[in-house]
Amino acid sequence: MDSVGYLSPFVPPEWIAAHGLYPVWLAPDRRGASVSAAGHPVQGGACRDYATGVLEFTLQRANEAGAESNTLKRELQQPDRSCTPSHRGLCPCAGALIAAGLDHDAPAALVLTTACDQMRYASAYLEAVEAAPVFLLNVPSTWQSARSRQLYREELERLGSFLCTLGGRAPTPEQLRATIERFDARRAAALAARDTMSVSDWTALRSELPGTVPIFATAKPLLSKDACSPRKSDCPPQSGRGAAETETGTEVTVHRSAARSGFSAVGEGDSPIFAASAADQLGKSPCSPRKSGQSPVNDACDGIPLALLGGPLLAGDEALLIAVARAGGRIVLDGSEGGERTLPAPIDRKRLAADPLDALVRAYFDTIPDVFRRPNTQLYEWLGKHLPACGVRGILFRRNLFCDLWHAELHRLRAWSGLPVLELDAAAGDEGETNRAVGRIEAFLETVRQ
Amino acid sequence: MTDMPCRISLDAWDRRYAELRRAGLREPDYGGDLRRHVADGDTRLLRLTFDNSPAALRLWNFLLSEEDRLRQARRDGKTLVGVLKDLGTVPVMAYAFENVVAFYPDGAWWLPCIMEHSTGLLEIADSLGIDDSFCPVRAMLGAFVSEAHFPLPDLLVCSTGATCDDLSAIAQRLDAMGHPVFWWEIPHRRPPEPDEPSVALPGIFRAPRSQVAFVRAELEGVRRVLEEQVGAELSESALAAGIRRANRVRALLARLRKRVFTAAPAPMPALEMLIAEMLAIHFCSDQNECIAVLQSLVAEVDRRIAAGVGPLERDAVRVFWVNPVADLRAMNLLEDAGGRICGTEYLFSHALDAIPEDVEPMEALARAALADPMAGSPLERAERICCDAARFGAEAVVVSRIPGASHCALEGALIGEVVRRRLALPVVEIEVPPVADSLEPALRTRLEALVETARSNRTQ
Repeated sequence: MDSVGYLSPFVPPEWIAAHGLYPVWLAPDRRGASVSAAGHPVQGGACRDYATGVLEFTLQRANEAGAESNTLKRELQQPDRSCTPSHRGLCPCAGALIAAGLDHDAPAALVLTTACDQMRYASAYLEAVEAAPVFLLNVPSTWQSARSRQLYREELERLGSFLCTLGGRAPTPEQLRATIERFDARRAAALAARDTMSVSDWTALRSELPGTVPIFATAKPLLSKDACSPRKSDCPPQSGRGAAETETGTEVTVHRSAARSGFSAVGEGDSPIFAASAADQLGKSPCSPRKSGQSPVNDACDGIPLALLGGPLLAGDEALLIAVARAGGRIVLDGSEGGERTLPAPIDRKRLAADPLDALVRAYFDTIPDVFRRPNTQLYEWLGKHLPACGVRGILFRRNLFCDLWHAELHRLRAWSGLPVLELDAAAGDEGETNRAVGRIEAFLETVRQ
Repeated sequence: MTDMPCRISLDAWDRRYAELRRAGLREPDYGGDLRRHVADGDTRLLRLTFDNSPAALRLWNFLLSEEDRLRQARRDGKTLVGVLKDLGTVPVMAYAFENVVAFYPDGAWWLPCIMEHSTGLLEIADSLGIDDSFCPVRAMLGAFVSEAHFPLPDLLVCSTGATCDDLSAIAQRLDAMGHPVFWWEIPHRRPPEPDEPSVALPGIFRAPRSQVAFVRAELEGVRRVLEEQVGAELSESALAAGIRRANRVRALLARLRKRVFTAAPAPMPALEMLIAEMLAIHFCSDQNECIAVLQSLVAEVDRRIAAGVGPLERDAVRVFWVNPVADLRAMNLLEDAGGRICGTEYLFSHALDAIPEDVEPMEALARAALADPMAGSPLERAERICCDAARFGAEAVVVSRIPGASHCALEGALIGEVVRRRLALPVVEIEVPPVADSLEPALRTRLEALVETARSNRTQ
């Protein structure tokens, strides 16, 4: 079964799975962009115009992939070392995604969205270098009108046609309904378990939710491909192992039991899994269960309750969360892209019975609060509800350099929340970032603790 | 006094202006010498070179007096509509009303250049967390806070969706700061699927009929909010008349561009042509005067072409320019290096194409809006650039990056690739900050290298 990679919460994985394909939440490695930025030779000569950093890296990947006919690569033949990705203003997430799209192990296709301008351009870039097929899903920024919702629905239908060109097949209403129910049940169980488990366990758990499985460095699927087939019931639990590289450079072997609270459809892969490794490093269940409706700050858990907010976490970001735990912090609210903030609402059963695609549209389009929406009041409503409910005492604000959408909100968030906010920006190939960030995290937590 | 076309400094314009006055120059009420704008803070004029014609003088005075017009409109009780991002569509609708003046607050992005960082606008933006990782349009945020450069509009309308993130993010901040924004969606323009009903847009693009219908419905929302603000209905006939007036401007610009871009020697310098093209977006807050300004420019160009004269060398290298420059001086640099403009895509080519008059007005506006080169793939935009570059006989292409702009990280590579593949032209990518003096040697070198390359191609 072919895998289809994506990196936006507005791409419903159950829609991909219902077409018989395998949805993969990508978490590309922004450090990959540094490989050539650091001066590694590029196959076929040096680049002329743009060519350090991500673009050079993509050329290397494109050459290796054998896409010799594309002349964009020839334009990257002689380096202008003064023109790095940072000079160009390239978001490291978009750059890393381009690199991932050209990877040997890239999914059969990528689904990007218009939620971010740089991703729009990344889509065109991948098209230009003749990488894996890319589908650009138009997700309207405005959300108040039925018209915008209808546009989103039509885009999902168009995505369905695209998936069929990859070998997928259009699901019957019954198949779609069953797939939606299965994914919804997993999410519901996860959220229910959220209230009765330690933060570290939740961190590991959410990583295993279909559609929120991060894959770092390579795009190898973590899930058992059959697990998402609309024709099959939940697969038996599998186990496996992966490895994550910590900030100290040591490899941490991660043993995971995939069978948690009914999330048995999630299989194992060979790739490093950030959340699992982070969870294991943090230690299991250091605190008493979090009671439903009770702020975790009232738990016996150690650690200052923090919220994580911002864009998607990329490979390598696990080191930051490990640093948070070691410095005495505890993430009780995951507002990053792909975290609990961006889970769709529970499926409306009546709508599901009447029109499963409509139910899907409403669960995703109507409810996910995100920074790009205009106006983005839903984001602040979500924060206004969950920050106090979770007893958050500080916010870790993770943004990728040149991500204007999140960056512009930082100042507003500080003023609005009244909470201490630590900005953790990420640049492409910033090798010294972790050490710098660890120091800042420690200082931040000392401040919050006082 | 000589009437031979040439590029002159501000000092030379002082003398030229005195001579013209003595010769009986007649000017509109916003006329006068250019020097007075320096006294108002527009110090960048001291570093620019200008065309020496009365038509160019009128153009510059028209541009630099817009703030006065906006304040006068406020005093006259007109409704001020601040339009963000769409670059050319909503103003057509706004000017179809009586007593409405529309302008682009994002035009403040040129203030740090024109006033050479003396405005403090960028510092205000910095203080609000909008630092120089954003494009210079962040000056707009400072202008809203300082209220020193334009009166606060009665209504803010912003297109969102397939737009640059910089402006979208800053407009969202404006909204949160108490300047409510009416958002309307411009979807990413995609190629029609096979067998999908589609519509030809102004220019060269096609779009699915469903997308045009969507945009039309969105613009109907804009129309309603305008009507509520103004307290009057906008009839179909009034809107059709508004489109015809906008098309008059576009027709004049089309004539001006064709004449200037194809004549040798070039009859009008790049800087004045950039300013003239900008008028298409919102008519510089006075539609009728905009038409008069363009008419005088066309007349001057026609006169020069008939006489076979121009301010530039006859063999200047013909360069197609992509993206507007944050520092206007960059256009001078190209000509100093031996180049001339023979085609442009300043991000608003859709504002230069005629709006269809053979369909319903809202349908026509929807098509025009969806033709925005920024709304679609940069590869499509590159196709448009190739089409125009070939039409005007370009010998080289400059892609000018806007610092911090979300679209500039990758588009230059993509456009350059398509241009080289299709037209086999040399392409150079440069980045121009609001005041580029410190980079001038590097910019000059790159432009000179491009010109030399293009010249060498002539002999091959």
